[in-house]
Amino acid sequence: MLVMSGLSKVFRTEFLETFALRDFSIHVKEGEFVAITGPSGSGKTTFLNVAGILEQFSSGEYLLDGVNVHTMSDDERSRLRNEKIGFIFQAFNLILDLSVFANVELPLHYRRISAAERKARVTDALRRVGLSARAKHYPGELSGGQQQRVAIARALAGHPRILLADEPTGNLDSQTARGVMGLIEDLHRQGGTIVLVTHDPQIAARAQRQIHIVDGQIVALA
Amino acid sequence: MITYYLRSATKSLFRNRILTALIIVAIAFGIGASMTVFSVFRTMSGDPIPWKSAQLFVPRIDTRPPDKRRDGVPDLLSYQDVMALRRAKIVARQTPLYTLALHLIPEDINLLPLHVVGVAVDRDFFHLFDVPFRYGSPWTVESGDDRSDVVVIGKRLNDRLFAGKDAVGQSLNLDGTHYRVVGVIQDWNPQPRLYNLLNSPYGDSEDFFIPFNTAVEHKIAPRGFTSCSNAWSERLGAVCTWILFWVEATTPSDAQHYRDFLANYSLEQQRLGRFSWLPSASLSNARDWLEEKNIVPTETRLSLILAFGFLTVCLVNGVVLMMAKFLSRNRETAIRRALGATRRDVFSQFLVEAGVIGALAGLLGLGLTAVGLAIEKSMLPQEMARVTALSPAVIGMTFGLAVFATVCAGLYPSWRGSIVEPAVQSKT
Repeated sequence: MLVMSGLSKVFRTEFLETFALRDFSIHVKEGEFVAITGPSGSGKTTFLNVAGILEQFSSGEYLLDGVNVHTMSDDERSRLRNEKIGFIFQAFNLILDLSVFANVELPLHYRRISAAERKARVTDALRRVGLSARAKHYPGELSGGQQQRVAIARALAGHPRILLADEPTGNLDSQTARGVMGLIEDLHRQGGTIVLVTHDPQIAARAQRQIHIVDGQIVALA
Repeated sequence: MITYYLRSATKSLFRNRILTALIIVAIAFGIGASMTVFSVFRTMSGDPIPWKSAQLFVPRIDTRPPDKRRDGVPDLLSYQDVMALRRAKIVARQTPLYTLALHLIPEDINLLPLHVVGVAVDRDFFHLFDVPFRYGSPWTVESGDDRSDVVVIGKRLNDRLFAGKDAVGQSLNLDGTHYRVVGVIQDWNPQPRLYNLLNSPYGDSEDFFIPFNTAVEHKIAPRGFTSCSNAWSERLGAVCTWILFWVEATTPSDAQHYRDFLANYSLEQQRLGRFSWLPSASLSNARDWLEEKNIVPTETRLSLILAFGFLTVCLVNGVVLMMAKFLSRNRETAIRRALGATRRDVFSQFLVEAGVIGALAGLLGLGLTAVGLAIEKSMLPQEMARVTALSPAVIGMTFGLAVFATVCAGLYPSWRGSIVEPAVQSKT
């Protein structure tokens, strides 16, 4: 599903080269739940941005669902991101002046899906996260946990091949975090492929497999 | 997708209301100022019959000695030259034209005579300028040739004398001569009055039209500028010039043929000993003639340049304000990009937003144009003020210009707004 081989991401200035990822190789299979852990600045978010085709990488190879993303144009990368990946961000990243329904519907617009199908998908996604009754609400009217569930619904509505979650419980209290993690685990049980980035060992422990990175390199597998 | 962009754009208007209002007001003021001046300019300089003016020509013969040819080519011809051109009939349609002012004497002797203004023309005049008839038709060729006392009257006079009813067959007493009405024209008043620019380029159309031969037969003197004394015999000579002549040349070869004819005519006049020099003959297209007459004052042209300069300044302000508005949404743009929006999607969305802003600026600009025109009309000469109006064409142009200019102004801010990278860095 997600294969990175010898991938590097380098930030260059006139005098300095900083490796955010160095010779990074990983293989996430379909249906797997993998946690990427590491201290702050270890390269977790860079990995997630590269995996989510949000950032370019410097060298190496990356195949997402069999597609080599390195040679793709910006438009092709956007389309691939839209079709294959569902994102769950730590800060939820909802658009505040769009309703819950419109937020969940957002990625479907860019796929030119018909209005009827959009409605069906959004309704189903909101039902799965238990927020059907909140469709007309705005993010500001929801709790943090509810906002994260909206973000999960948005990710699910696109029927992605893989879910990338960046510290999905980082902005939530422990009780709400448990609820969100329960939801993510449910998605995995239903066959979803999930890559979760976290610095919290307890959260990471709930994944099938853990990959620990330091200074942009994999240092431990569990 | 356009529906989605429109919905998003409308929603976005309310996101930063002060900034949105500033952009709309800035552009609307530019639109209002430029369209106000443009409306006046358009009235002054417009081609009143664009579908035909390319085929209409004014033949001119400058009979002055070469060393005295200053101040452009005279437009009026002498009676002798007009008659020669008419007789030659090089083109299918042609007409002489001069303005006359008469007194309409009412049948009721208790009423005062009415001062009416008209033109003496050949029947071709009505075809040349596509004059629409409400009742009747132009006089016949025979009536024109026979110097019959027939008249075509304008709508205004028909409304006044006959309450707008069919006046064909009625009689009018003009300076003691009874004219039979053969036609009534519809509300026809091209501005500027291309066919009779020399007398008054703007204002009401004529009250009446009578055959040229009839006017000459009755020795009706021309009104307005001529080079003649009051002696009628002198008017029928070859020296004094007082008649404008119009011809229709439907193809460029017809026009060239007429030019050749005019050149030969000038040469012939010299050979016949009428002049010791060669008269300069020319054939001016109606559009060129309109341009040459320079009926738009220099101040109006200058105002137009300044007004559009002001619009440019307003648009530059609009660019800056739109840039601030669009770039303030970098985070939202990054989210959209992360969720699969291409740069083109984001660019299109911003551009549609610019178009919606432009439409609102257009509506406000229309209001400002209406106010500007009302002020302008209070300062214009009466005849100009009457014909300067917020026409449907100006309304369409105002709105179209506002949307087009704003979309153009929004190109750069939209592009800048669309090049945001999709990586959403903020975790707060």
